[in-house]
Amino acid sequence: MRGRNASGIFTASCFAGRLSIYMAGQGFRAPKRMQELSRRQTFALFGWALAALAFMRPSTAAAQTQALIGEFTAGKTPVAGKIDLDIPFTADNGNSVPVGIKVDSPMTAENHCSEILVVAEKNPRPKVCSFGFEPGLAVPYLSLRIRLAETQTVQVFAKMNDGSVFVARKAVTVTTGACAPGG
Amino acid sequence: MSTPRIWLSNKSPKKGEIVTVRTIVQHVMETGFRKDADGNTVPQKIINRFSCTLNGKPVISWTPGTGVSANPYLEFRFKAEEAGELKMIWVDDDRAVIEAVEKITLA
Repeated sequence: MRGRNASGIFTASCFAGRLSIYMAGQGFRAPKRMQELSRRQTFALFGWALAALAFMRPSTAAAQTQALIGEFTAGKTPVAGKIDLDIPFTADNGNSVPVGIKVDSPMTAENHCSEILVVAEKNPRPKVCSFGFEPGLAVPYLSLRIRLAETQTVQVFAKMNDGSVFVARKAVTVTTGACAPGG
Repeated sequence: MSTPRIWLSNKSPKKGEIVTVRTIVQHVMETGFRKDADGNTVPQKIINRFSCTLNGKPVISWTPGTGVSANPYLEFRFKAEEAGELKMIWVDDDRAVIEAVEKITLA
């Protein structure tokens, strides 16, 4: 115990001695050491920033989805109904998931569906696509294929000409995500 | 650009009949998230606009995002209120345009 202590003191004094010799030899170039320290600090800062970013990412994605839906609904609360959303419960290939959308609307000038928004909240960009309709020739019936990054709930919003918003949600289990390497 | 493949349930429908249209175009729909073998990000290139009109009257407009599959497939319906030209246009990020026209006659 005592020996170890003594050796510790010895190394410390040795180090101090070497440092003073080194500093003298270098003509007192302390700033270089300072620079190195500050560089290390910069790295540490970067590390913290990256960690913070990684921590914040999910919440910003959720915020992005919220903003997207908020912009579409324009203050109205989406009501379940009027939309027939057809998606398989399980999708083997996230690169191509068939989606069928039917909106119950007479499509007259007084009462028609004007917009449809497809949202996949766990995709890198939650907005999958949107559709616009005008009364007359349009029929709110669609079928398309979308990408899903992972297992998630797909939401479809439909806006009527009076501003009311309807929503349909369906959970999809994705076996191979669209973002899988080589996919 | 490739020629789109289009199928119509009825090219000479009765007036007011609902016609189904199936369309598919060849397009990579590059998301901009993918990296190539050298680790460089592959720039985004997607079809960002599609519209269909019958004699200039709007049938449907579509704004695809990166979440739409490659070689975008779209099936939609319209009311055949008049005879004429059913015109479809796809536009991508490089402003390349794909156009298709189908003649509609009323039975």
